[in-house]
Amino acid sequence: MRWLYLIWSVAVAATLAQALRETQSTKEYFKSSAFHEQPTLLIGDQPSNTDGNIIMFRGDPQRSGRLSGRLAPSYRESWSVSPFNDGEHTAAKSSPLVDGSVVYAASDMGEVAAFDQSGRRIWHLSVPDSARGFHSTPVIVGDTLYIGDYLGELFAIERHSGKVLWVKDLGDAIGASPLFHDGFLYIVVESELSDGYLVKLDAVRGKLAWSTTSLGAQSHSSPVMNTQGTEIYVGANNGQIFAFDTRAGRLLWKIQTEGAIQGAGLYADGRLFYTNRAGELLAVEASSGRQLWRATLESWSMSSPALITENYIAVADERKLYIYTFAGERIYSWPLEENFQRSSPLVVHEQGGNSIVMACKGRYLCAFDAQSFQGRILATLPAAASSVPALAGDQLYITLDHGPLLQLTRQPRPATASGPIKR
Amino acid sequence: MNEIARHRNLSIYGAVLSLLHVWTWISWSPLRSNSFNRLATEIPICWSYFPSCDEWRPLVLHYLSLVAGIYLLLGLLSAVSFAAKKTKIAYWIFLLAGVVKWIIISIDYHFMGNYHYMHLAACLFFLFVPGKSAAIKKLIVGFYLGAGLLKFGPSWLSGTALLRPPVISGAILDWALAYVVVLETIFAPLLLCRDRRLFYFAFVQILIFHLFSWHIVDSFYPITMFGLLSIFVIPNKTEERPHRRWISNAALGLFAALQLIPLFLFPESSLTGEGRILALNMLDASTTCNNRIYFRSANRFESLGPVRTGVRIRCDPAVQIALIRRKCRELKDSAHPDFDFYFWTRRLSDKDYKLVVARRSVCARPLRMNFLGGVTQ
Repeated sequence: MRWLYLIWSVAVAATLAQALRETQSTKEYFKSSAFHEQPTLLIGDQPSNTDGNIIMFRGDPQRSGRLSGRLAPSYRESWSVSPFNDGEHTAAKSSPLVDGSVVYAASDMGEVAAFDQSGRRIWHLSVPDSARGFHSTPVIVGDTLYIGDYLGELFAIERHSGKVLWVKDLGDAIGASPLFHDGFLYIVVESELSDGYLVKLDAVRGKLAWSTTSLGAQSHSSPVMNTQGTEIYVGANNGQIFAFDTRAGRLLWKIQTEGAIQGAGLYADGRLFYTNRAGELLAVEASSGRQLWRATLESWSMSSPALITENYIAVADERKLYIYTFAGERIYSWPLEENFQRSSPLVVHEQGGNSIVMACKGRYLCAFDAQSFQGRILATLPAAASSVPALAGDQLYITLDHGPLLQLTRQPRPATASGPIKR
Repeated sequence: MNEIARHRNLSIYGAVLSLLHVWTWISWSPLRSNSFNRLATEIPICWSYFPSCDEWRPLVLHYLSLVAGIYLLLGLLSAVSFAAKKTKIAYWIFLLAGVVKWIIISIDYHFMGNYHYMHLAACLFFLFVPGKSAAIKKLIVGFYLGAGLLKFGPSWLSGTALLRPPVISGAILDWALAYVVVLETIFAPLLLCRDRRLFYFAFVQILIFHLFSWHIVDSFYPITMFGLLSIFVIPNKTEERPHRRWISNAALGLFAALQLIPLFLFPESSLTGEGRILALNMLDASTTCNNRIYFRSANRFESLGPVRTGVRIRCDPAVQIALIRRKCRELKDSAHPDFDFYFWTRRLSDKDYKLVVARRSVCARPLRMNFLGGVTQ
């Protein structure tokens, strides 16, 4: 018995030593990552179809916030869907997307829906137990619409019928908007433990490719990609900007700024432009993270910069809209005449120039000519807006903060509210 | 019965085991967890061998106070009878107390607990296995071995399986967690040693271990273990004659098999619940879980729950099935009476979650558990 006991003790000790090594490896993993992969729930009978059109927040993976179109002198409301947004959360609301004659919009009351030109609901998906609903703007890829909710779920929805294809719980909340590139989705996820990370998923079946190490804070900043598709950048609430390689999710660099980064960045010409809650506009060399310049805005900003042309960007803070050069020179500014402005500028490239569309003066939609610096009111809104409008032909679509989803239709005459907006 | 009558230490031990019935009653009463009264308001969660417990709930609630009172009385009476050496009457009352305890536990999965498993196992050995003293001692060593075998992994060794954070932390905690494995698997067998020095070497450490665990697991478990361990220290003046040892060995072999089956056949039992009914599973893992239901006809996602349960069972599939049954009853006459169900879970020491259930139309085609607690349809 004594020998048996001895053999048993040695076997236990050896097994325990192995188990301790395994435990140490597990502890090391948890120190660097808050991500625990949850299974992809295959709801539909078909995988996602990702052949075709791509429509996403700010227009492209570089988040240029720029599109070609034609603005009317003014707009009037043609229909509204109400109730739509009703929550108090300070993150900007989800922006609508338009493809042809269908508009897709998501609300903070937990609904994502498709509407036709007359405002009739074609389909909707509801997630009533998500207390903050949707703040993320969807991305459309072919026949599939992807959107993240404030429970941390990413949905793949067949966009003609609204049927859910798959859903994957990625964490505690998704407030930022997903990015699609080359068959993969990139999503910033928040953890309740004041943390966050970036994940890359295969867009067809929702299979995880990689997740990054912890960002050290939550993030509402939608990821931005360089033009080659090799690097992806994220800002976080701790004021840090991160660069990861898209192939393996490896951290390339990170820098610290003075305030929380809550808007998406803009990638242009090898540079990254970000605003933060300390009221800074920063330009950073994308390949290295080296700060190129820093400008001080007049108030804090949650806004995403927009590309006007090569060499000029539009950016907003709580109270003003600005034009800056790539070199950091402020060219112009307009007062938006409101407090707590959270929307981002949309640049409409028209024949003969560029106009910057922004929520302004509390309950208006304004357009600012980037060449003449003239501003005008496009439309009167029933409530303030933190989302970015979607332009489709003669229509504008916008979701309001405590209000409806609106379709605005062109009017030949200027808006009757007070006239041009001066500097 | 004769063996108990012949050995004073067994009569005393019988009284101790009977007092553990009283202690269990106290634990279920309003004096502590109030489990008896909470049955009226909590969702019925059924054992795998009693899947329709929710249908019996109104009847159970009607007679619960009576049954609980009978249980307390039986515990007290058998303790007194053993102490007064009225072995025959004590034996039958004690047997009845064990049956009533098992009935109460079977009413609802909320009553599940390793301490009840151990107490009832010890009661069974006390009642039916010859060579009781030696057999029960071996059984208790088996408890520690069974518990120790569950601790060879990150769940225990990282500390995530602990119900509450202990007063120690850092490297001291790491060493303490590894020490517990050594205590349960290497030192505990020394309780069977004839060498009294080696015996006390192990026994004192085990006592200190249970005292220390008090602030983590609360008082019920340590006091139960002190009661079970008393067999080692109650003086035994009359030497036991070994007889019909094969029954004792068979019983211990059966107990060992019940611990090993889930360990080898159902290694994910802490996630799937399958096999847990057979064995001890104390602190095998602390788990976290999620569920989602999808109403196809309404294109709507929701969650089921939350439900108030002990930490130990909150992610058991039995709890999910109870939630599904309740939801299906609620929706029976509604516009969207059916839904798909998804459930996934992970040990806190695991990196990733495991999908445990993914089923369509769980109201039309209800989920069930097999006897071992695994989910079937």
